[in-house]
Amino acid sequence: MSDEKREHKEPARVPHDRDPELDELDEEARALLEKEEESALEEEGASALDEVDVRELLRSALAPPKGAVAPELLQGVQRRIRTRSRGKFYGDGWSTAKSPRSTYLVTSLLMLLLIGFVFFVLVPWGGGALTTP
Amino acid sequence: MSSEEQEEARFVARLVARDESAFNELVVTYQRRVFALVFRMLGRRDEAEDLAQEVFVQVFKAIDQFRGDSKLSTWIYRIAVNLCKNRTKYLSRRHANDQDDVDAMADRLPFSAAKGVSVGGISRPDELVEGMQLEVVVKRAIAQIEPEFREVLILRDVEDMSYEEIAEVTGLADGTVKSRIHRARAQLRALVEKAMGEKVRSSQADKPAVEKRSGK
Repeated sequence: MSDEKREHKEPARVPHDRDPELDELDEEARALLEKEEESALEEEGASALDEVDVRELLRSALAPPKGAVAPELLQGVQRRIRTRSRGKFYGDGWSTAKSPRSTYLVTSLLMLLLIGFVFFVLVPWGGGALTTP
Repeated sequence: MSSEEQEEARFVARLVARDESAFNELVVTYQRRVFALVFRMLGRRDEAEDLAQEVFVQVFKAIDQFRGDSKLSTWIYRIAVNLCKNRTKYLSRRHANDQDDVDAMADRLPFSAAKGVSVGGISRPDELVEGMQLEVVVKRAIAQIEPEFREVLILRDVEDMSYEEIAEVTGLADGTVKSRIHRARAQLRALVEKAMGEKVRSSQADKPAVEKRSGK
């Protein structure tokens, strides 16, 4: 390799802001230098991960994706307890509902209404039958 | 005793009496948090769903043993963490904890899910992709951390528990909790840095090849 050629290639390894010969480089070489500097900066940034960054990374990585729905576990849990307790718990088919208290209340009221209706209207010796002369 | 504690004591009394409606309330109240914790620990949705149900079955069985020394939620978390440990051991014995679902989930996620992934707003498509890559890298790194370190790291940094709460949940001394968290962060940091370094190097290696192919 001639001295002339060596002189032309060597400045490419020197930072461009300090090298007066950089102006002589063509556009392609300058772009290559800039890319190398950018990648070096990226590597430096990656090594500077501190405690706060780790926490941020973890939270963002482990956050559930938007629109993701956690499964409904209640029915599965009730089924397991029913099976393992051999029907002692959650065995009546009523308490497996999500809001059994309201279910019981509504059912009780309906039953009372039905009994009242039967007593006063349909049964001959009920309230209706007693008032007739 | 505060009103909140009194309310919890009454609720626990109903649970001890095996009040099924109280237990339904308990499941509905805690199912999201328990499932989220278990999923983060195991990294597999099917296993997490099964184990989260098992947590509540164990709570139902063992509620008599809850003495009220800690909060009910802490006690439930302790059961969840212990079951996770056992399941992880079982899965590792069966060579099954390959974290397939975490990787698959990360690969399946739409780009829209990457919004807010990295610190600061993401608006450009190339930044979106970078955010997704970082998320995948972190998920893989978490899967590689030793289970006892992963456990405390998730409890501290994701579940926002105090050191005392983590000590109660894991049964470890405060000092051990702190040192494990420190070492877990160091492990995660090293793994992420290594992966990101490889990514940077591989992208640099790809660029000249692409340029050559395109004739530049």
